[in-house]
Amino acid sequence: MTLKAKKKKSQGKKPRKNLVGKAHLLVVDDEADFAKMIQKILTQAGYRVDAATSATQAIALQRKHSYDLALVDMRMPEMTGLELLQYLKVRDKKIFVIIMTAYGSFSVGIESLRKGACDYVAKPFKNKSLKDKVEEALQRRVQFLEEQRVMPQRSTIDEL
Amino acid sequence: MPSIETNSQSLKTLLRARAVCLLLMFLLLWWAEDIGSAPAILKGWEIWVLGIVFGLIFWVLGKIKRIAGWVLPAVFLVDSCLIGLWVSVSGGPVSFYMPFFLLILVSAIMVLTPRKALFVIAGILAIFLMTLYLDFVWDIPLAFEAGKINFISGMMEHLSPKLREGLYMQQALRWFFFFILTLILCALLMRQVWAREERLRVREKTLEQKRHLIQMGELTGRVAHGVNTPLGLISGNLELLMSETRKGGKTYKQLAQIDQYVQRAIHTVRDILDYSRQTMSEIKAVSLPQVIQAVIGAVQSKLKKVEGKLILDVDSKLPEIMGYPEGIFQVLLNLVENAVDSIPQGGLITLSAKFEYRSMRLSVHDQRGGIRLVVRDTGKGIPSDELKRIFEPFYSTKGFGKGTGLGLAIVKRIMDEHKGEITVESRMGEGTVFTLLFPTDGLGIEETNKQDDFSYNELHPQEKEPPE
Repeated sequence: MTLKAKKKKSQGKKPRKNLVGKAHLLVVDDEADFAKMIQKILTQAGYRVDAATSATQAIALQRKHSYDLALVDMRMPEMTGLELLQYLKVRDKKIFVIIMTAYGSFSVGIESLRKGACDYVAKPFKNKSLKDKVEEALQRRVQFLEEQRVMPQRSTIDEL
Repeated sequence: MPSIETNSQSLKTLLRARAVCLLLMFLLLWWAEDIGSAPAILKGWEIWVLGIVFGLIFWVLGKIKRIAGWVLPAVFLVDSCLIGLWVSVSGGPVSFYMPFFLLILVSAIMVLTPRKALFVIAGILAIFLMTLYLDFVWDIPLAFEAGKINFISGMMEHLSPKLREGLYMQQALRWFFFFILTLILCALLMRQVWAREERLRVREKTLEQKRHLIQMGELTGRVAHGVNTPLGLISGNLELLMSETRKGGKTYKQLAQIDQYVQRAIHTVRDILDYSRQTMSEIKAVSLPQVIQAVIGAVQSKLKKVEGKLILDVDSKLPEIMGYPEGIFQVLLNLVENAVDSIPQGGLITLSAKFEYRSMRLSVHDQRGGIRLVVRDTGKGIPSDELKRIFEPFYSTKGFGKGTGLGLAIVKRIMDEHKGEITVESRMGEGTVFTLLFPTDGLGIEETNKQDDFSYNELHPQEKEPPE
């Protein structure tokens, strides 16, 4: 529930300009065209975006770069989005993850939130709503990092 | 009379046990005659023949798949006559009635729930005590007077005619007494058997329906999944393309038209998916405030777009309701989305949830109440002729390309499944109010459903993304 509380708090604030442009995103979807499309949408919105078409590729990419936010498809051949989420989080505790699902439902959403995702989007989505969610997630990440800096011993989202 | 399908094993075993018990009874009768205490009416091979014939009749009855409604009462009537006869003519000690007690006891344990079986056992105990009373208060003095303390054997022959007359009266009384008692007991059993059969039939029917729904759900899930990815690609690229095209141009208009159709397809797929999915989730304790939070999160962006305001008025201590989380989420999402759609120029949406004690108190169970959830908007309202048809499937007032007309039909269906109520009031120009009532006393969904849940959870361990 802390997630929700934070969500509410952050809604009042205005978006920070420095988030856009600086943020480095990773898109993982086994459907190459879909990954490319999302890459294009978010690049247009001003983010730096890398795309991966498999979980292994995503993990390899994460070795080279440090990402702020990952958009992960729920259903992929090698491992599910939730499993990849856990992999990514082990390597980088500060990474935020949004789960994308074509079989979107309330319980899938709740499940991914419980596993440590910060949000989820159901395919197909409006480009605008995707951008909104990414922006909101990045805002929350900044807030989270600030909180971590002030009180590092406090439990993190990873431990939830 | 209703006909009973004895697909269930219980009725068959009941009849078979009955056959065995009857055979046992006649065997005992024959043995009693052998030691000289049985009545003179039935002798030797006649008893055997009778026992075997009756036993076989019951055995065969147990094998028949469909038993007409009248057969069972007839069986019980014959039983009570036989038992009455048996008790009245035997005149022996209590132990001789044991097969009869056994008969009803076995039936009771097999057919009834433990609590109701206790009832029957108590009844049998009552008969048992009555018999003791009859034997010891009536028989023993009589036997004493006749100079015969040993009433196990040869009591009848040694009684004087006068006493014998008294005994006949007593036996007639006994016969009547037992006949009535067995009849009552058998009627009790019958009611149970019928109720159980009815329950089983209903359960099987709902189970079959559920299976069907699961298959449907799987199918629609697969189809929707296969359609959702391409649709996502189309709509996403379309929007990218539109953002690159000059607004107001011919190409833009054509693209906008394509987008309209694509959105319509997306809506339809989503509605069908929602409809199929909520039958596949499992029953859990649902916390309404949590669901409300999730719904607000889902409509936030839409609400911002129309510059509407949402006022929440939720009791801090709401009890949980038993139900499908997916379904309840769907209900609220649909209603709130509709409310947002009704205020395109901005307005106010009020969402309130309150716990309510039931005003009428008819029984002990009624003292618990339900949660009253109200979704109110300040939209333009719905005319009364449309209001009547609002819950009909495929009835939409939103206009082409915007709604499938399934939303409120789904809402109604889900509310019915939760034994809840939904009412709608609307005034032109003032707004619309949807009022939901969720029962919180756990009666919302019956216990049998929970058991069914188990079986279809086995089929679908988790709601997962279907494999490719």
